[in-house]
Amino acid sequence: MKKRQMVYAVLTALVLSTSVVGCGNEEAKPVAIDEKVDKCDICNMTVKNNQFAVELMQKDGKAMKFDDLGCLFQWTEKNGKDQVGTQYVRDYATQEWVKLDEATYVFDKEIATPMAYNVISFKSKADAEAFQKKEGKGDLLSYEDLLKHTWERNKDMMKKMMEMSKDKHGEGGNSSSHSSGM
Amino acid sequence: MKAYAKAVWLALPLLTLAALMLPARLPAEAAGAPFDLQRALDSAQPGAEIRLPAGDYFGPVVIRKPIKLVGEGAQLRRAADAAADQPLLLIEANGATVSGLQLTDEQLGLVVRGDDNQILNVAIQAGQTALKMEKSNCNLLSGLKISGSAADVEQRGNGIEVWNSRDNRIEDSTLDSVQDGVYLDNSERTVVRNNRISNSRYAVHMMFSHQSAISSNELRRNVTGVMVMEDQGSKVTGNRITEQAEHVQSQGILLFHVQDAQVANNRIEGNRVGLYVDQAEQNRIAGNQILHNFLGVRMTESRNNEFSGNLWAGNVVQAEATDSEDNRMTGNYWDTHQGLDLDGDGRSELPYVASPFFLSLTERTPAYQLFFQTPGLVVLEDLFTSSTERWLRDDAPLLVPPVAEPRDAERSRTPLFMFSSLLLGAGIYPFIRTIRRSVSS
Repeated sequence: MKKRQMVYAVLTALVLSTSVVGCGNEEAKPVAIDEKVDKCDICNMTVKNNQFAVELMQKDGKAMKFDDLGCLFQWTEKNGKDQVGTQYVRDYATQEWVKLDEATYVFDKEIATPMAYNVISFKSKADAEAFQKKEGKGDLLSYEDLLKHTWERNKDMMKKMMEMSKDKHGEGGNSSSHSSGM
Repeated sequence: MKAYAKAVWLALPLLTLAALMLPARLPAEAAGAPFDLQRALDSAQPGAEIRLPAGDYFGPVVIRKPIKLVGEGAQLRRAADAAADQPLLLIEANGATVSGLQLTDEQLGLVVRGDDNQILNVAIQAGQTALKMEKSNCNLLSGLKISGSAADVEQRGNGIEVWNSRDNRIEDSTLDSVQDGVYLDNSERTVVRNNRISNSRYAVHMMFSHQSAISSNELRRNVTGVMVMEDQGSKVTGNRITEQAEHVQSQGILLFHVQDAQVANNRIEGNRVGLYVDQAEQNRIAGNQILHNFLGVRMTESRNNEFSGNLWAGNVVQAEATDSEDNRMTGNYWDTHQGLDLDGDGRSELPYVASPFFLSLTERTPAYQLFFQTPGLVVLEDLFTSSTERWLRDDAPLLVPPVAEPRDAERSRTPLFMFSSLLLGAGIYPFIRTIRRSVSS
């Protein structure tokens, strides 16, 4: 690809060292979210330091931050997984960083997330089940299920909206529990 | 002494009578006990008007009927012993009107659940969201004054949130120092018109709110002016979007995953990025003035958009696009373009072409922005011109700027003319006097 060649050529021309401090075999730790600076690489929104924030550590040490788990999957779909090191999600309750492949997930169209992908993450399966039980809704997803999950920016909701728009006073929406921190 | 006592005895029944005869005007505090606003609201008949004279009133209160609550400088606060989880004022009715109130609260200010309500000339200062509307249609919010806090922008509440609603109007309001000024979520055909929103994160933030109209607003010094996300068929027209430049993510307008939008006749001035079009298709961008931004227009992964009749002037970088093909760009004016009109149709036969070099370089490593316009980079930029057919290009750029909206021109010229005549008159006056004096003497 021309663009990439171009970028590489320039990298050499500018004689910039892109040396990254090697950490041996240790995997990259999650880095802190800075709400003043961090922007989601996919949707361009501010990445909030909340339970929806996720991180993808690239092998060259660069940390990518996203405001919604769905945006992270968009990124890997677009850029491939060659450069992907460790990926982190947050525990819904404690906001503790958990590795993507070790967490349990709950999906429900009524769970509001910043970009309406409607998937949240939990450190333990028990916590996820407890949430499911308490809220009386949601599908439990393991990491393997998550990889098969089809990430849609709430297309159903969009479709429903379009249908509803035909009726001017149509009773609105299907989302009842919202988080206002978007 | 006796006369005094007599007078008091006479006056007492009179005073009582007077108090009884004025039930419509409610005193802020009667005999030391705080006035029970909730009881007054509950006992009012539908259609009744309740007037609140100046003074302090205490919430939270709920309006459950189509009544008219008119404040005359009245201030509503949360009672010290009240629960914190209820909104200060909740409207759960259709066809109610609230006007002239001042709401001051550390929590959630005003919540609307219902249709055809009017909130007019209400001032809200809230720690959390100032006004929230849920599953509500055809309401009018007008003349609101919403001010947030001095906290970090990420910690503030939003100004107006609209969720799962239709056909609401937000007009003639002023919002300052909140998180998002107006946040629309799943709310179609919302009209946001003639508001002033400043010093906030996203002045207008839309998600899945199709066919909405954002027009004639003044959006100044926010992180982003208008953030249109996941949208179909909305319009952003006639706004003044200026000085979104203080934040690393600042931009005038963002279109993210948007189709069939119309962005027209806006003045987009002095922003970090004027207009950012990302993963957006079939949008019409016309008649905008894109002035003095660091980067006028940035486009990524976008197709089939149409740019016409726009004016690009004084931007450090006019426009850049990557991974964006099949966009139609014609008849725009670029102040840095050296055009040549061979057939006299006012359009240049030489195209305007924008190199994406700098953008693609800095996309991966933003720190390379430091090398902007350095000699080496200029040379490199000139070297990589092999595949210009994929660059952003205007095939027939205008040779003179497109004519500004006639209405604007008239409005601005009349006072200018009067002012110049006045100056001219004042300048000439001493001479006339001198001439007269010399003639008469």
